[in-house]
Amino acid sequence: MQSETIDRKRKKKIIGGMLWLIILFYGLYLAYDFSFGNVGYCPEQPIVFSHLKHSGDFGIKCLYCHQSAEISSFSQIPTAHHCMICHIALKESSELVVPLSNSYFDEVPIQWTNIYRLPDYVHFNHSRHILASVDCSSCHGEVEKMDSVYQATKLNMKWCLDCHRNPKIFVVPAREISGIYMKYTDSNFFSAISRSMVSPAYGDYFSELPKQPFDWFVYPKKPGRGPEHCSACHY
Amino acid sequence: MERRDFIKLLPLAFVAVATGCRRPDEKIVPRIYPGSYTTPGMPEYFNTVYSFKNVAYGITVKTYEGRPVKIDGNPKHPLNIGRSNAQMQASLYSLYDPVRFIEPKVNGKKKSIKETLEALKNQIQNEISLNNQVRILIDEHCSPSFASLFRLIENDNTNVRFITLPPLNSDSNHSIINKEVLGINGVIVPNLSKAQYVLSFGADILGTDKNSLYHTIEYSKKRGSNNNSHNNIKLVTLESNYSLTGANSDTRIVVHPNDMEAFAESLLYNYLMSSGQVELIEQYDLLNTYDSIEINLIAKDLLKYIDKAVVLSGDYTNYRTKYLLTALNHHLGNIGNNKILCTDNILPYSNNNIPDINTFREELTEGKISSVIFAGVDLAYFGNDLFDLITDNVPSNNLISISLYDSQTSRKCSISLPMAHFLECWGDAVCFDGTKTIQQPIIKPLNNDSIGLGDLLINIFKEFCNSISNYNTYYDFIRSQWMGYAPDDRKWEMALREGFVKKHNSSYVLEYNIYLSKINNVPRISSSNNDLLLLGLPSNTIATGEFAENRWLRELPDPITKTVWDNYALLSPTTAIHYELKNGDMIEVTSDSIILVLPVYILDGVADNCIIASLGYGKTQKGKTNVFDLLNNLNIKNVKLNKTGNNHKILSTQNAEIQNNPINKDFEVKLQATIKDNQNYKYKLHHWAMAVDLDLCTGCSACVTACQIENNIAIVGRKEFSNNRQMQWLRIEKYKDSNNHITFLPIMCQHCDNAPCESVCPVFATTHSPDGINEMTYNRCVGTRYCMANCPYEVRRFNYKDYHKNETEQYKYIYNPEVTVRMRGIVEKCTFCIHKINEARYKAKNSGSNAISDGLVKTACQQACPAGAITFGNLLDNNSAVSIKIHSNTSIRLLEELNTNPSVYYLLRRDNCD
Repeated sequence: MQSETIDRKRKKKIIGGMLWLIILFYGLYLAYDFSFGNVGYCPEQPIVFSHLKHSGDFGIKCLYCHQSAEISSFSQIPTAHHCMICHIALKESSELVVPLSNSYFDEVPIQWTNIYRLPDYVHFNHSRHILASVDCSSCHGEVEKMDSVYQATKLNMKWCLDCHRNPKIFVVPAREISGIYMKYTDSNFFSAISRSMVSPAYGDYFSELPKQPFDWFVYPKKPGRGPEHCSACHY
Repeated sequence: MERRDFIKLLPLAFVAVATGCRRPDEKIVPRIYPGSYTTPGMPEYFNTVYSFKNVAYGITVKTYEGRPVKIDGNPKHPLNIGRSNAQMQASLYSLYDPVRFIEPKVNGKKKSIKETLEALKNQIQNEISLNNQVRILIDEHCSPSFASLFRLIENDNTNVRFITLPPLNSDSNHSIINKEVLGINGVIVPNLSKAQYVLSFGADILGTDKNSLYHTIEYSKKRGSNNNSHNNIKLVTLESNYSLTGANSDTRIVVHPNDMEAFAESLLYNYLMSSGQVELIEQYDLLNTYDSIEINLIAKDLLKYIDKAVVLSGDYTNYRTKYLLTALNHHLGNIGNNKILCTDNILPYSNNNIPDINTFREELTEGKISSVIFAGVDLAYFGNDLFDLITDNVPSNNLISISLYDSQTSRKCSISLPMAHFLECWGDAVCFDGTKTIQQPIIKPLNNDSIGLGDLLINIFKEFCNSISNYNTYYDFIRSQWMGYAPDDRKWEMALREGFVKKHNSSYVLEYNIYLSKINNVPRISSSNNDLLLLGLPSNTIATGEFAENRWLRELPDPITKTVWDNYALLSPTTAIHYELKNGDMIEVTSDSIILVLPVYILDGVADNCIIASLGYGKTQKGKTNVFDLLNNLNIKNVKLNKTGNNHKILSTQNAEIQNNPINKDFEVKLQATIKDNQNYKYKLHHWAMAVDLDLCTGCSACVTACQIENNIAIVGRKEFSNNRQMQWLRIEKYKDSNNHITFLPIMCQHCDNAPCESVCPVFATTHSPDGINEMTYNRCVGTRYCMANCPYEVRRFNYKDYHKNETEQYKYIYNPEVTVRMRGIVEKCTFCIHKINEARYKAKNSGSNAISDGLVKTACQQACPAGAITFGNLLDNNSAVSIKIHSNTSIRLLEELNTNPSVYYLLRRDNCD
């Protein structure tokens, strides 16, 4: 009789302890998830820029502004000059555009806040994903529907590997709004603009870009499986 | 609250804190203008020139977002065809060096560059109006624009003179001989591509020679395990120290420096005897005093290889020896146009400067000189007596210096200016073969107050010199100098893009005559080989102190002794026993009441009765290790040796006792073929492998530096190094071969197919990739170090500390953004430059193919190797360069009996011992 009560007490302790551990790990997980996962992170930007208006309403392609995503590992934020191509004569007196024109004429760069950030030991290459026909929205969500951009995905390793292993389920194939292979079916045109972007006046690359790039891609192409070994991203 | 309640509520607190936890905001700052050509995240390459004294090579600088991160040879440059040496690789360090001189000073007070230039201009104006003498001391250079700028300034101001002051005047000895015997001004660069037999009298052509990169390239073209014409070059070295040339030569003879002359004389005697020119022996007044079998053998060889053999004299041979060797070269018939010693291939601006220096000394003692400008010359370090003469005879207010570092000289000058790095300013250079190159700035000066030497001279002398008064900057001057080559902007930009201007074939032939008749008038220097000598030679890593501040090179093990950071005195075992010395004992070397304190390092293979110490040390840290103090511009001095009784731990990466080469054992294992190939992995497309040709490897260690820069490998410093915590991924081991010579064995991660490290990692931080690479995942590693214990090649390195955290913000610009900067507590190792492989894979896949073509991936060590000893590529492709090398008879793998199946193959070294 006595031993039964001890057993029950022990059971209670074990269950209590396990619950405590579960809550602890859940807390740690949340801490990890919020500090690294950060879904929904939507910092205030120095200029109130609406992707909904520019991309959603006017249909400006992603790659029109974020040009280097096609050729470089890094997807650049457009220069003030790039914005001023239109805004020099468009809504130039709007109070939303004034900070931009101030930055342009005063030559003070705009300090945007980075939203999508990977740890330093992860090497992500934009050009490889874009040229494999992975749509921007696979990682960034449907930005053309966001008024102010927030982080749409978790960016943790499981999330990466999910796509790499099951591209058919998770990857969104290239869409028209992204600008991937839409305008650039003419290979000469593409090589012409990419050359102007990558060929410096005085330097030279070791290897040249292919003469006739991307002719064999048929739009829309289904992205294939990505690599899964460690050194594909960690080096 | 009780303790138990607190712990019960703790998880909830975690949840509460976590929800409020945000990572810090990080800014992205785009450019305002598209910039002319910068794509973020993509490297850009610019061609420019690296010049060390009067030798220039074309380089390609890799930049990320405008900051230079790597220097490599320019593949199109005719002289160095894309290859580099350790000094060239490491010259990037001084650009970001945290201790670089940044503040101009006038009379010890910090001033802005404008105020300093104003003060300097006033002073020069004062001097010129009073008709006072101004001397500008410069180092050897190879810039035609500098030369013409100096000439223009000298022509317009008779009171201003430029004096070339190299740390060692040995070159001028060569130029004296050339002037007296051949009637030409300057030092001839031998063309080894025409030679089949090279006899070196202490000439370190593969090591510390200024042209060693060029010589190594030419030498390596004639060697190599797969080279059918292997017997194309035979290298015989006579030396007192142990140089890289000696280690790589087929026959090495150890001679005391005082015996060099007798050896040369007897050799000439024997050669003339055997070639039947007996009458010349009397004419030259030759004696056959040095008795050795080797002389007869060499004389016979010289006769066999006549007009394909060349004799080279080094820095520490005396005047008469050089005279005799020039005579020998003349009789071998290799002086002249299109010969080995081509009279066209003259080092630029290498004419004899000793008369200038002597006149300068006289003028100083007479008190004629009023102002001295030290232009990048640290005279207080290498020329103590001349510097004392200057400080005694020139008013201390009139000493001006411009230098990259706050040196001993600049501290004693009233006006001191920080000099711009060569990647920050315009310039140009000409190679000895006539290839001209523009030096273009890659980055705006990091410190606004630094100024290039050319800009400084234009700034000061613009008002007093009519011929340069219309140039505002040195760039304008260079542009006008290049008008002949590049009349329009298009050609100018082409020259900048290519990185050099092709040498145009001129019909210009130097005239020369041979005056050997005076040879019997040169007095014979009789000295005994029992004299104890101090021999000061340039260091294999830091040259003559030009790279003393460079921590990459300070931590680069010396190829021969494998020591780092400090100077030492090399002694032969016999001499060490005679003076009862052990490794690490401190000795006092005394001459003319100047004392040098050095630790002893005993090396079998250096001459007896000789203390060999490296020049270039004692600059950054105080102590009596500066060999220049004692030598005073000479190479050799008679000294006395005393034991102090103290001890000093010499830091080195390998034991002083040299072991036999393990490679031979591996070769036997291969021949017995007892090992069964247990290949577990099946590779589909790529199997990356490397072949190291030991017949080509000279041990120069350029690969070690290149690897360190490319992969952000930490510099650990002297203290950490003494705890054996070095981080270099690639090391070069030295061993004895069958002839008792030192041979080299570069060892990096072997990327085994059956890797012992992979099976023991508890957290799967080290794994095998589908293309044969042993991956190291830093973010998984927890630092158990089981892998280090299980690796038979000892190639894994552990971060005991956060070495990178101590670096300054400016230094961190040097990091390669493609490679993770590793933190404390994790293991790292060679990755086969996986970032370069991935980049090539992206390129291949972006253009629609999965296979990476051969030669697209070049590892950092392969790219740097001056001898081309390293080949990297796909083993599954039978036509790739690496497959061809690996399938040769002489290829072996290290410790094959362990069945680790490494992906690194070594090709055996062969000596020409016919």
